[in-house]
Amino acid sequence: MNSFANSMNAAANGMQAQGFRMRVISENIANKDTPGFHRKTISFDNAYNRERDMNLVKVDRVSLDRSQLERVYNPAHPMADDSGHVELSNVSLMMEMADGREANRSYEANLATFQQARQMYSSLLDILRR
Amino acid sequence: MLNSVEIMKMASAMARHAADRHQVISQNIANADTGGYKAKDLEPFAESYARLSAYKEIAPDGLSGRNAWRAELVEIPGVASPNGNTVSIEDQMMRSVEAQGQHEAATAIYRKAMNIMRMSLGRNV
Repeated sequence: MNSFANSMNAAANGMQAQGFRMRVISENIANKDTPGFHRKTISFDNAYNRERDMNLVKVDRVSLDRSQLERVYNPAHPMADDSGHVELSNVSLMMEMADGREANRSYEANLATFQQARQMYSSLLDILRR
Repeated sequence: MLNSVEIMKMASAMARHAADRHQVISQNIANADTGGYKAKDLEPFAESYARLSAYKEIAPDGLSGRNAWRAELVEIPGVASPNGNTVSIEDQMMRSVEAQGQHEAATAIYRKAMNIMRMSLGRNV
């Protein structure tokens, strides 16, 4: 019974992490056209939970992607520099979509394990019920 | 009579093994995108059961309770992704379905054994 609680806990933990990742991705996509925006990246780390004796997942840190911003020649833009270039964001929609798909896939896998644990638990309770 | 008690003990150990295995697998899936994480699994139930039987021959009542059934963790060999993670979600799904099937089998055996006992007591099943 405790194993099922642990299973469900790990699955919920994974879903929470993937949900946070999805949030960062949607922030990036929302700021695609913000001048000077650096995209955010997220990394996961392993966190040992002593109480449950399990390796859960935690969000390690959210960092900025320091790569070169996209430079566009547009002297009419209010934020153009001396040479007439404007710095836009370094968000690549293709990359964010791929990342989002991966987060979605992992989230669904966690959801499936949660449902399995619940099914197994209820089949155990069926024995008691009879 | 005594045999069927042994069968129920075995079925409950099998169900417990399946639940523990499912716990390990859900940990793997939660860490599917964690850098450097190595996928783990429990050894098969047959192996841990055989080891326990061997222990029992040496010390008939030296081992009892939950810890006696503890199966060993084994690492799943696999190709690591660029961040050093060896979890493959597809593989893990297969394993978790396996664990679920094992649990279902164990509960079915337990229920059948219980029905047989009830029948021998002369009650309606």
